[in-house]
Amino acid sequence: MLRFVAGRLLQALITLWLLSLAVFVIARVSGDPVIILMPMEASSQELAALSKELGLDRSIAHQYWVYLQNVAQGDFGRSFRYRRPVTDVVGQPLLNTLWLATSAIIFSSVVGVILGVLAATNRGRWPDRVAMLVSLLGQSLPAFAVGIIFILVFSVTLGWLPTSGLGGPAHYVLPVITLGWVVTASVTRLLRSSMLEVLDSEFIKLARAKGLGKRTVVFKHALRNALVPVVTIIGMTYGVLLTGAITTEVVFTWPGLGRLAYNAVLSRDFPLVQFCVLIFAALIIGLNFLVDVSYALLDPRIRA
Amino acid sequence: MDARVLPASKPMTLMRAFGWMKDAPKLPLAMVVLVLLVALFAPVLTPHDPNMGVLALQQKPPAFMEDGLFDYALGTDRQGRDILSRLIMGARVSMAVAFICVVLSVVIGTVMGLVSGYAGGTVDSVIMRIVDGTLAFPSLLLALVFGVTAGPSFWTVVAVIGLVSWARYARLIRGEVLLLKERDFVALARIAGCSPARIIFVHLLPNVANTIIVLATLQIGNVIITESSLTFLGVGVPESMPTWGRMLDDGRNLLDSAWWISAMPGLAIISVVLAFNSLGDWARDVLDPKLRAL
Repeated sequence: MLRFVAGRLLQALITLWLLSLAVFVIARVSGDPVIILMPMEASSQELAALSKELGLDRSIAHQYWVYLQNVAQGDFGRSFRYRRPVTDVVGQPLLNTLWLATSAIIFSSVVGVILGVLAATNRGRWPDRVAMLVSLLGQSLPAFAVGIIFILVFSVTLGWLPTSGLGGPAHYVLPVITLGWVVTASVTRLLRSSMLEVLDSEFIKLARAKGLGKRTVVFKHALRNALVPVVTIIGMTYGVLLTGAITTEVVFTWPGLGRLAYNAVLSRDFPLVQFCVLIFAALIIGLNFLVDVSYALLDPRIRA
Repeated sequence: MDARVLPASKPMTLMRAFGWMKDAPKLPLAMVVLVLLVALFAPVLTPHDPNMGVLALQQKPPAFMEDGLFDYALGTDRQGRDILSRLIMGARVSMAVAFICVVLSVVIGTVMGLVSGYAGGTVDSVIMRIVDGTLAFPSLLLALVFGVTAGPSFWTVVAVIGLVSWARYARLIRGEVLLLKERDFVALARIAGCSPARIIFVHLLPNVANTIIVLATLQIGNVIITESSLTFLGVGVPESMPTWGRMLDDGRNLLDSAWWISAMPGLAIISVVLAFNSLGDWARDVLDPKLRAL
């Protein structure tokens, strides 16, 4: 088991390193930040001076070497725009994004499980149709369109909920539904099909034959077994939610990591972009690692 | 030596594909055919120039509303451009992006998955690490990095979406190949002296075709959503090409006075993605029930 965990950890670290390298190269090959940072009328000497100050005049290999040395000392660079270490800039937005994504994953797991159970136990009847429609829509509607429609209906027209920003629980409602709908869709679908499979199995028939109540059979016997694949999917989509937060955060002007990264890209703030992507990737890779390990704990066959 | 080893299931022929399409859900199929035809013949179909507005006709409502004009059936936008014409040209852009991206990711993903699953060992580990990395990559963020630094362009969008989405194909196909390669027909092909390339492309490929078809149909909806999200964030295809994502963004601040500017492209996105996803759902149920979890 220890060997398995160590192996997976090593794989995760290699993946993370490859990603950081890819971002580093892409960000430097595809454009020049100096032009964006300086005013339009800046002379070429001024541009060159800034380039030199930021170390952008050296070769990419040399820049990467310097970057690696700094990272080893815990220095991930300074944001060009905020003129502070990126590690300082990222803290609060990261927390805001984690709050949003966590609320969304809880919301969508709960709603998804309810819809999934309803759909499976009422197969072919209207609760099933409604659940499948909700999930088909969730997979087909782009988050930004949903967000705009929600703002138009619930904030502008009805005035029930705030349009944007961070605040009390009311501020969470629209962004959480917008962000979580896709996940609700996949949880519903997956739970529905795995419930149907379990409900059809011998031990459920036995439980029914024993005369157990419908509720006991559905919740104690079927749901417990059907939840296993759902838990894995939830673990993995949490990472997807984190990055999916970019559009949702932009639509609702949520002060999170996604919006920070978006603004950093627009102002070509290399060190900040690099660090944001690194954090996003580290979160996703870390989550996948945890899913893998917990899976191996549950199922010894995987360790081989 | 002529040992013909039949694959486990017959590959899809054109005739079979037609007979099979007969049972597809009618409405989504009609929608998909319609949008493909519109995309194909877009330049002939537009009633007005999609990029030239008439200043006197700004923000005209659709024909069915009071003050609407029959000549501009779905209304006009802030610059007096015909929304219907822009939708038609937008269909062409969206479909082109979707088609090229799907082909790109199918080709890369299938080859990688087949090779990785069949070769095993170091090759497999290396390819799977790349797949892990790609799947862990925040694709929207990558698109933003590319889009802003390289400037908005049609090909940037295609490259970014295509280069990120092949990984899902690779992972699923590898999994199937791992099971398939233990089967007798592969062993027989090997004994008969087939080269690895022949086994991979002649014997294994037809057996993963169903998975590819299902994934591809479901991916189209995703690509349309991603492309419109990128355009919405300002890093999609350039201004000169009308796309549904940009049209939606154009009307965002006019929702209370001229809702149709955003509503029409919004409806177009939703119905086309819904159609492709329902077709994909159906194809999955028919071809490959194992993939239900997708």
